[in-house]
Amino acid sequence: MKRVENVIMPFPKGVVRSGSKVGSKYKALVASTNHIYCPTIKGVVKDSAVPENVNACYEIVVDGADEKAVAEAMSVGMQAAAKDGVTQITAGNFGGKLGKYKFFLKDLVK
Amino acid sequence: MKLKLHTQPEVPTEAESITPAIINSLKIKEIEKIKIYHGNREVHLADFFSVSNSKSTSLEVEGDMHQIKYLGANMADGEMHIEGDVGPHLGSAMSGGFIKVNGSTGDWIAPEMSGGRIHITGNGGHCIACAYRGASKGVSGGEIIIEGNVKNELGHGMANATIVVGGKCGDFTGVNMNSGTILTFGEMGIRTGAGMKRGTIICKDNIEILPTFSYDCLYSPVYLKLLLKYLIDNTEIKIDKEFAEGLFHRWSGDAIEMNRGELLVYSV
Repeated sequence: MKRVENVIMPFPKGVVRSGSKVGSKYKALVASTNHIYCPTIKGVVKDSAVPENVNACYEIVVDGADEKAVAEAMSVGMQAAAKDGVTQITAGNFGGKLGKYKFFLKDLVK
Repeated sequence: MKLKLHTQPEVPTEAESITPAIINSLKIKEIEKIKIYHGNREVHLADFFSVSNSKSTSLEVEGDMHQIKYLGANMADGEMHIEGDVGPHLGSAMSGGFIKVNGSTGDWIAPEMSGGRIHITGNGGHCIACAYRGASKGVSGGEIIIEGNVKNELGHGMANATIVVGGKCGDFTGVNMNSGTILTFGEMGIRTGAGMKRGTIICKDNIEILPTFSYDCLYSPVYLKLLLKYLIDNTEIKIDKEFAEGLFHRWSGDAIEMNRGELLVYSV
């Protein structure tokens, strides 16, 4: 993904240590841990999206100059991440809170 | 200063004036006249202790003091080194400083502690760092390291303190705890973490989990590696490499309370 032009992964080494969501229960916090993708509280979150055999969820945030660059970065990123131990790859734009653009993973792996 | 027990008290004796701040600020003759309670009778400190100067800046106390209560009570600073066993209420309500005990202790160690450090190389009794009956909060800060075994109700109602036990624990470890960290290396009794609101209990032993806890995941907490490094550098507790780098089962609970506590059980 680093080699794709016009995109950056803004987090350290490109990987966020947890899934994140827009907003928080605290007013001053614009983003927080996405509780439904948080393995350490899987047992107490009723609508947890973490499957039973999963112990970690990482997130890669991609900022791009245009749609094409973001789509390409996501495509090569998925190819790189699909290795033993990884059970699921998903993406979301948080109900439109992050903008109008949508990237469907099934289209990107074709 | 150095205090040495020369006469064994016949009944429990309360000596809460034996702290570095009080003893080190007085001359020997003044120290000898400090009043302590032998049972319900007021006696002089010199009736049980011999007092001498020592080169060390810390207060040294020596002897089999299993009948002496409240050593280091209300301590706010300074260091106290104790050679021998001590009785209950060591470090009661202490807010700072350091107490090292080369020996074992009685029950009710460090009630209402809010800061400072206690390091015990032997065993501890019941109700260490425990809230007094009727109180919702126990210790509110500080660090307690016990290299040996302890009995029941370790850290009952504790909040924001760190407790490490190198050996076995009795029943109800961390019962009703509000926050803070308990790390244990030995066999555990029953009902660990019952009624805990928040906080962390880390066990090397494969404990029986209460039904009001729910399983989360298997993971390796980063902060634990820092705590273990600190223990390797400062204590005689044997910590094997497999444990330091191992994975832990995380359980959330207790569901009868806030459900925000965590039990971390070592995955062999």
